[in-house]
Amino acid sequence: MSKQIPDSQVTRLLDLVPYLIVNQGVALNQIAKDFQVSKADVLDDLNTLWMCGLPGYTPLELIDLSFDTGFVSIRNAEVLSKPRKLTNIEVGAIIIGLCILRDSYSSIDSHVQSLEDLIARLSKKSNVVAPVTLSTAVPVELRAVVNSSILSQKSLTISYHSFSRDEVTSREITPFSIKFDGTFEYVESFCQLAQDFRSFRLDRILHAAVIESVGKQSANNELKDDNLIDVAIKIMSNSRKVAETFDVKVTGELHQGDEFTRTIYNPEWVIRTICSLKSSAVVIQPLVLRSQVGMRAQKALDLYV
Amino acid sequence: MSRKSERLVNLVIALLATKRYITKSEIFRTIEGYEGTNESMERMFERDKDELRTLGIEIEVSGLDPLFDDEVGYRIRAENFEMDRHGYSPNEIAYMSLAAQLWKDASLSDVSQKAIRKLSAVSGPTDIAEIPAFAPVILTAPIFLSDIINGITDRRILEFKYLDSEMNTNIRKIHVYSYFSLKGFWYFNGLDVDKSEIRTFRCDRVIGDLTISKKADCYEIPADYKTDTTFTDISVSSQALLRVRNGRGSQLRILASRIEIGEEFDSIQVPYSSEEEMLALILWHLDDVCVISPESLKGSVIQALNKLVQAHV
Repeated sequence: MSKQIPDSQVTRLLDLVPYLIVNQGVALNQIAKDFQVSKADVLDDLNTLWMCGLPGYTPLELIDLSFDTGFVSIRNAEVLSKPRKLTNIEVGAIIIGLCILRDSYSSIDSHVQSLEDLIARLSKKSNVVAPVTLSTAVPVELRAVVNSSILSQKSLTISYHSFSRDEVTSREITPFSIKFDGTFEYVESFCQLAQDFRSFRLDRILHAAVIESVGKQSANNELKDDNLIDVAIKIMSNSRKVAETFDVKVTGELHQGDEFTRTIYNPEWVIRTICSLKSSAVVIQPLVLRSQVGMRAQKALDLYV
Repeated sequence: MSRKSERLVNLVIALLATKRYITKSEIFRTIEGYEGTNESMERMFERDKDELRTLGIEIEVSGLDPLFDDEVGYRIRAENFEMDRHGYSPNEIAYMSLAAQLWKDASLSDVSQKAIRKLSAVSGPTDIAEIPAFAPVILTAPIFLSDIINGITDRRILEFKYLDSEMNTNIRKIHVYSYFSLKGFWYFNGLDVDKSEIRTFRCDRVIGDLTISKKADCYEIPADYKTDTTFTDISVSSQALLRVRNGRGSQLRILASRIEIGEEFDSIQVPYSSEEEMLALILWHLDDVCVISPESLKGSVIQALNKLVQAHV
């Protein structure tokens, strides 16, 4: 089935006409940028379009283009003047995008209702379904606070729950972006407490409030890593769960008894994760870490005597 | 290449401009680019028609006048070709274009780029200064998301290899009913044809290609169908009584229904529905948490810890 409609010159030409009509005098470079093609392609497109028109193909019927100055204007293209209809998949992509937008606003925002209406209308008209939910487990209000602080470049005070250390700390951070690693969203920030760049998991920020002074740190994506260690882990059961927990890239099947190695920077995280998996996975290497898992489990067991 | 594009664009213009169906011979006579023998023009036209159709352009075919002639005619109806701009306010067009932009670098970015192109040709003042510059982009959306949407919209059957909990792959055939994203993962839901049961599938557990049936309208989505995105039976709820070290176990404290502050350990009551998940959460906290009740949960924790000790000597 049509995974996606190929981007042929024909569709580009058909979309170019209405685009030029509303953007009279647009620069060639801008067209190249908007259509994501090279300038040579744009010229080729214009030269082709110049030969198109209604049957008869006299100057009266041909599309009238001028672009020798590097700026393009168009006349006599009424038949193609209207933008083409969106395909079902294009509508699908837009609907999902609209749902994401809706969820990024606080629920009382006036945009939410307008977006809600638009999604319902688009979906009904085109018969394209909307997703049931796009839940990210992050409260809308928290997202709104973080978004507004990124936009206004103001700092935030946050209460943050560090899971591996199991502590709640209060920090002052200057966020500059939200990144998504495929499972969780992270707020990339400069942290005043650590005096360094840190990322914080959005769903572990328990509370955030904007500080009314402009942040000073510029964006810098280099986040420091602690010491990395290679951990060899053997799968005892529940292979899929183990592989997914350690985010092993699945290239084929992975079975009971198989071993894999994962580079990890936080040994505490490994110990706790292995324990929470019960005995589905066992640490093989390094030996120090292996015996630590045993010792920590024993310590927990001692609570019951 | 350009010659062919030229001919196709001219064909579109002619078919779109006409108020009546035009015949093949009229096309050959008047449209620039059709030349050669009648036979080669016929072949050329068949290919052009197919190509326009794969580009999503609907060409309507009809008999002309049954009394006189059985030669078929062709046209493209404006309502099937053009965007219905008047159905949307300038603000709504701006929302749509912003929504499409969110797909930058993600699975539907090609599709969205084309949508943006079309939307950018809709003029009109907009008033959406308040739109956030940032919105979380869904980068995990599977490449076959468009197939899933297509499947639901046209009721086509999906077929793919799926990884089960012991990581064996099986071929699954699904009547797809719905899709959703939850905590960063994408899922789809529908009737598993071989198992005759409604199942939910996580997209990243699909191995290799997902194929979609050529035939449309293969099934009907039940009218009373509703997607369950909770995965758990919320109605069953047990209470765990735990001792949690002071200042520790925030994750458990968030879930707690009652907290009593103690000397070194606090007493916490946590409602739960899945013993499996509760067990994993308690084990994560190691010696900061100790189960008081229920006995079954306490027993499972002790058993799991014993096994861990034995496995890591």
